[in-house]
Amino acid sequence: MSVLLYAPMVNVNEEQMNLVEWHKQPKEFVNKGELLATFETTKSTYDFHATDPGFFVPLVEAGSQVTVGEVIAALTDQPNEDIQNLLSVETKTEEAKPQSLQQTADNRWTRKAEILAQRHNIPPQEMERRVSADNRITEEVVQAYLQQKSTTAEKQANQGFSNATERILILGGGNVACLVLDILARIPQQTAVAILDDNPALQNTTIMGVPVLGNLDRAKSLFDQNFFDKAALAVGILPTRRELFERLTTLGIPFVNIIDPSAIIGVNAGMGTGNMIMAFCRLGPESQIGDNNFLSAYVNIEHHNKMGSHCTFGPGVAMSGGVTIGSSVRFGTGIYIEPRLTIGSNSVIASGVTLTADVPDNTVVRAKANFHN
Amino acid sequence: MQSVPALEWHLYQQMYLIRRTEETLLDLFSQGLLFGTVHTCIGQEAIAVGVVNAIDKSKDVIWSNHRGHGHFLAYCDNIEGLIAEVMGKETGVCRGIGGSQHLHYNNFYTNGILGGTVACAVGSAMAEKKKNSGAITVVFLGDGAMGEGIVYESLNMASLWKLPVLFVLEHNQYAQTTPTSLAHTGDLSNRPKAFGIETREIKADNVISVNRLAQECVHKVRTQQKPLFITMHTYRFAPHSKGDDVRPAAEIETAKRSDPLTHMRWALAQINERRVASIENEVDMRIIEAVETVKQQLVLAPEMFFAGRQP
Amino acid sequence: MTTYLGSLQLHLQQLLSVDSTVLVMGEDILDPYGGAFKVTKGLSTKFPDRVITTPISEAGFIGVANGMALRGLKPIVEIMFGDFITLGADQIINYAAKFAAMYQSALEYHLVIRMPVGGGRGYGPTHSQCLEKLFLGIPHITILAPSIYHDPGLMLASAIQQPGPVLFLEHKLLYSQELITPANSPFAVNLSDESFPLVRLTNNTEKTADLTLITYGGALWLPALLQKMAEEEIWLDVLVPSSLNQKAHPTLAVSASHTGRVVIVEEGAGPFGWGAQIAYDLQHAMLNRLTAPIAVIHAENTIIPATQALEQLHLPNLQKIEQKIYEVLS
Repeated sequence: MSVLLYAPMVNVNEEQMNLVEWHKQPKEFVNKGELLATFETTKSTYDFHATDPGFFVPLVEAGSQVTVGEVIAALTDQPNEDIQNLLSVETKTEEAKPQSLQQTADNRWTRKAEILAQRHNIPPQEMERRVSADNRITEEVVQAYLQQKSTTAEKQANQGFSNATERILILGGGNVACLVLDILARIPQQTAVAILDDNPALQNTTIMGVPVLGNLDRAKSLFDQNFFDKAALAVGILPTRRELFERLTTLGIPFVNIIDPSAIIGVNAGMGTGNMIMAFCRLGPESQIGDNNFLSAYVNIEHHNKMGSHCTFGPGVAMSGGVTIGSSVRFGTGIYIEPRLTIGSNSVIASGVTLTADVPDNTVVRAKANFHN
Repeated sequence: MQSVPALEWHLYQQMYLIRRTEETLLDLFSQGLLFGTVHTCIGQEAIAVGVVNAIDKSKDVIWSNHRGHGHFLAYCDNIEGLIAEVMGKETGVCRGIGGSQHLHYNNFYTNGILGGTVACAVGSAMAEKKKNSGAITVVFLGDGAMGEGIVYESLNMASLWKLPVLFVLEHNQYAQTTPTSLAHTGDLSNRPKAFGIETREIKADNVISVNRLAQECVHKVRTQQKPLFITMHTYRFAPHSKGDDVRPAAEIETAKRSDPLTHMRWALAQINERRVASIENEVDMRIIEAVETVKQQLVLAPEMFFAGRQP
Repeated sequence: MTTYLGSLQLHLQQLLSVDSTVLVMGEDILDPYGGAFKVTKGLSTKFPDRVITTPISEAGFIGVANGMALRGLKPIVEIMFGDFITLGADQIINYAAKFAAMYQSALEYHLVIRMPVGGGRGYGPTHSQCLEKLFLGIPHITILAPSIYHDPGLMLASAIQQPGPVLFLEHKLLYSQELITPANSPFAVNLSDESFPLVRLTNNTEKTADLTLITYGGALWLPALLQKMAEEEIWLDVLVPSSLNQKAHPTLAVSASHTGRVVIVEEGAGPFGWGAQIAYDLQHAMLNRLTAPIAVIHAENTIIPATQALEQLHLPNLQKIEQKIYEVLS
């Protein structure tokens, strides 16, 4: 798409500057991001890079004084393209062009549209060609442009004013929510947008700055409204975790893996979705875990291990390599597991146990030394 | 043997109790058992005892000030509540939170800021008048407080609205360390006259004459439903609070020759010295027991106090 | 249709009718004048014993009201201009606010001090101020400021029945205005069900709000701002508390955590004010969830000029607020 290039604002106090040099020849093809021109203000020099790919058409001469916002060049799709069309749109709307928010807004632009365009670095004239039916440039016009243009990465930034991050809905507002929010606070790419909990006392409060917006049943409608991207279960109790995960997955709600930045994920290690991995955990190389597992701090899953889904771990469970674990296994705190053992599904391993033999399905392994009795 | 009316024995007993309690507080202060400040009225007891025994304690309202232990004890005789309050114990009349200058018990109120109490007193007189309770209000103020503008706003309103309030000026000649001559001009006792308020004046070294004048004034305020202002000339023998006395020693010694307590003791002892001794002994024992009890008591639990803070 | 003034007049009449312990005092409040802003008009004719005109002695008559309140009456004191409250500061801070806590006594104590505040009338430096900042940090005072979206009379009636002292701020530009209710507002208005409600306004109930705007009291620019922002497709979640000296209402944090962008507007001069405290509370509740720094708009940090053109520039106004909203959104 052919575009016009404008003299940029280099220094807020100066409207005029000197275009010292063009770094390309007329009609030469320029890639996006290549150095195109050098400007000089009273304070500094400024390198100007191509905003789009295209054939270079200079419209002012090197050495001339230019005004901020003035058209200085075009980048065309074709080598000998007629740029009169581009320029005629430009002259028609020159006065309307919003240079900065300090200026009085043109009536044709809504402020929202203007602010959005600025946030996404959309050249104003791109919008001028896409006015709405009543000759206005509205949020809808800008959004439509962004939808059309966006790559996957940009898409998330296009939701009105929301951040360019993965929006996480937290399910459960108890203590585990604090754990999850604490991790998310340290992950710039993921943001908790809201919490759902069935406890009426929590409604309309905030937990660590995140609002509680209703009970768990609301997840589906919030997802349908594109309110969040993925859900995370802030629940520590195994049967509840499993039930919620399965119910909401059936409704089409995607879950996210929440992984503390201090956790180490080895080479070729893999996991499904909806896993919670707390601080200082390790998933060794070539190990695979399923969905919706909850690993408290300091859980070490060594190399070449296999694990199903919905398992919960207390802090400090360490296993050797080659261990196979089924699904819905509940581990207490401080457990050691010898190499190459198999632990069957729906089993419970008590705190402090050292496992030296296989555990069949549906087995409860109790600690030998129980200090309470 | 001449007979002495019961009231006079009672007045002596109260003056003695106030004197000994305050001396005890000063001792506790010296021993480091008491934190904060103590303003004693040693030398001025005849005013507290003479005036407070002239009112109807069941309904009349008293506003006192930073130097209010004497007024308080004459009003309610609660030695233990006072000592505990000044020592910061939860059994104090304000649970140790108000301290020496901020006491409240039934219809008795004090505040550590000078002058403002006079306006509050006018307000309580107005309330009691609106309620037709028949109660009057007595407010004690010093010559120092006569420097505050609010006192004159209050005198004006009390007279304007014909309110039953008795102003008692305890003119002890010093505001902390500043003699009246450096702080005031004209005659303080004349000032209320400018507001159309009837005034009286007395040298307050004889509790019986103070009490008689107070009875007459209280009666007048109650029946005529208008204010009255008494100036009581007195002298404080102890420092303003502790260790801040710059008055000439000779002046204090001269003043002590008109100690109301000494005078009355001498007079009563002429008649029945054994009874005087027995009154004093009983008071001494009460104070010793009160101090021992209070020493064992606790400070208000922090959670009890801070529960009252705003969110 | 009721005006701000009408609501106050009506509820004062009702209060004096139903509660014989309530009385009203202040300067120039008797009929036929009925007070500088006419709030007490008609009262002294109906209740001659309980409407007391005072000398010009703010310290003195607030003190008298203190004494009356301690003895079981419920005085409602009018300070002719809020600026004069400085004269009564000792009685408010060292007396009224301290009685209950200082005496550790469960005394019944009711006192409301009403005061017209704010600029916009050309009254100049000493008759136009919002001085509530002086009292906001003092414990055991309740400070209320009904806006045009509240019912000021109803709030006054609740205020005198709760433990005092209460400072009751009436912005003087509001007296002649019609109250705005959910029924007559062009935009959605919601009131919380507290005695001193939080008002929540939005200029678009269907869209997610772009920005949280928090203000109180006068704020006569609000209806126009909502309209203007709607034209610009900027959707506001406006929160108007009526009780000032408490921790930020939880709804403020809920709204701010949705929008991530907050503008606070207050009419008091300069820094160290209510807005700064609300901003503190919000950042505390929000951790790192703010998209832009919280902006606080207040009157300029100098005296209020009498001349109209400069007074307009001095106070928060539509243009300033609009500009700040754009800045925070950008």
